[in-house]
Amino acid sequence: MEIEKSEAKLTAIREKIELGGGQLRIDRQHKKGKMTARERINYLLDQDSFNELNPFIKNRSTTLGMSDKQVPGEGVVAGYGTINQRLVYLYAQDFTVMGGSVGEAHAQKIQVVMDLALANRAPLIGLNDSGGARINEGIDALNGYGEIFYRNTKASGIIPQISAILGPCAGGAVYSPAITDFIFMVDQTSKMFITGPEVIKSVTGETVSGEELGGAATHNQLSGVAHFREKDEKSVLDKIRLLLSYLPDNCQEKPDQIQLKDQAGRSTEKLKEIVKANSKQAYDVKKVIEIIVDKNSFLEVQAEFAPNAVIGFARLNGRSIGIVANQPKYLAGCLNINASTKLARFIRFLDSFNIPIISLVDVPGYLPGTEQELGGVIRHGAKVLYAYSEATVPKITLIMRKAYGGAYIAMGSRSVRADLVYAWPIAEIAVMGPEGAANIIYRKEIASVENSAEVRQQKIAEYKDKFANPYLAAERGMVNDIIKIAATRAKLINGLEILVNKNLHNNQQRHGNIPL
Amino acid sequence: MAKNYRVEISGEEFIVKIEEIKQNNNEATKIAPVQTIESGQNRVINKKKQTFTSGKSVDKSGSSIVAPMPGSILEIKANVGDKVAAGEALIILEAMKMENEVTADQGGIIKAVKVAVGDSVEADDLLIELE
Repeated sequence: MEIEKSEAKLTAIREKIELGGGQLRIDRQHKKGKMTARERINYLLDQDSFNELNPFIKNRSTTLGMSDKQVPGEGVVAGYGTINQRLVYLYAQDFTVMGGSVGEAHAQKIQVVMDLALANRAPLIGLNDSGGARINEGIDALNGYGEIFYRNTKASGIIPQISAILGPCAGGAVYSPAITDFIFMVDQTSKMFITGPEVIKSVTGETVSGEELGGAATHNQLSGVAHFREKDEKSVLDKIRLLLSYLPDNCQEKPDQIQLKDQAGRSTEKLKEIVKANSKQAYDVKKVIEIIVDKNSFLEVQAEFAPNAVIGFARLNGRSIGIVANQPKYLAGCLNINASTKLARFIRFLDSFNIPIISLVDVPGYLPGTEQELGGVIRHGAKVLYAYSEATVPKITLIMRKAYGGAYIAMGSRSVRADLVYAWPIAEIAVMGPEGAANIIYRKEIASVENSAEVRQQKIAEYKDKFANPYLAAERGMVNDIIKIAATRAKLINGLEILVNKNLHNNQQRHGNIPL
Repeated sequence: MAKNYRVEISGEEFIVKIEEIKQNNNEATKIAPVQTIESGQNRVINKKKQTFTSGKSVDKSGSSIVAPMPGSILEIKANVGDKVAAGEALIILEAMKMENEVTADQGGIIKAVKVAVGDSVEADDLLIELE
């Protein structure tokens, strides 16, 4: 009987904790179109797989009315479970309990699962929904954040870390997601900023809405802080499950190769309907990707930020790969500051987690202009060179059409150690475009004749014929082979197979000094 | 040299910078630049037209189509008074070794075409006004 009594007591206490901030606040959360922390966890994980850790932890704060305040669960639910039968550690902030505010005990619960995730080499997922630091707990709250940032950093590149912003995430709170690998946001619900609209108004006088300042659209389109924007919470959680399917559990493992749902040797003849031989005609590189990779396997990352570059996960013959491509449809596919940072961070992620890099190149060069130069395109552009050179995973580059100047070198060329470089016969690999080159090389000749316009066109055609092709690069060994367009998929899959055991390591410096 | 003064005009407060002009016999008088700093209360966030492609309501009153990058106008596909649909190509801008389509960000009627074929434009230069 004694045992039954004790267990009944346990159940009662647990039920109280599991109710969080109470039915009233739960209803309020629902009314905003938001799920509670526990509902989110249950939706994200495989059924009945969640195990909670430290539900009983209580703060020890006695100041500012904390001594007799009830804070069930301390505003966060933490533990572990499985996603498609794979172990993940996770925490979900509970907005119904003191606005999900972060105090010492709240932070401690998060730290426990972070430590377990790192020690056991399994992915970490954070579902953020918090008003910020719990002011009542003063610097203990701040210290809690610091301990989380430190752990995010130490886990970086060892286990995948994913953040979903499912409500407010303001002030110091933003830096934990910022250090993680991917940030998901929900339209109209998620807000991320260092200082909110009220503070900005009082300090600088600027009037700006929360949505404009730190909404999902802002961070996915303009700031580049976030990687995915979804219409609701469930879509975010669904997409986290999908994203994880492309990733290994940690840096020592390779992603799963899944059963092939497409033919490895399938012809990619259809690409000829999309990519025009006339390199001045733009096209949508996403259509090219869709044709090359396994059917319906392309998961785009940062789809809205710097659309002149396209990145994402996909599969080739069931193997997880990372696609890095130029997008001729936007800004002619040029490299600029935003595209450079987007590409470089993704390349480094892929390299961290043993995911081969497939680069699809059609790049006219770097975007000219004072905005770019003064904005530091030199140091940002350098990141792409650094990231490719540093990466030791299998790297296969396909030069589809344009590959001009420094941008050609940057986009996974042989010199930054692509293992295999293929080019289509319509590729143009040269130091600069025919127009520019003809103008410089034949300047005097063009100026000295009467029919200069005609001669200029003639010189451009001559240059194009002589230099804007893949053969010179192939003669120098900078291109390993020139392939027929229809054979693209088969060649890339074959390339991946022969590189599958690539085992290359960087020097053991303390760490490199990537230009930031 | 320059001094800041607070000026009130119709109840609104401005801070102006006033610099004394020294007359020089050998030089024509140059007007020193007068910098106006708006008062804190009236300043609003000032940024370039931001194009949120979705998730945000589109301005119903019309829009300004600007050059996405520096280049030259190769072709103008729309005339004043034409009705165009969102996504329709309005101008072909030759830039970065590419004939780039500049498209309508929303449906509407062409109110003004601000460029001609052959013009060189800078990034963010106004090309077409749509209403």
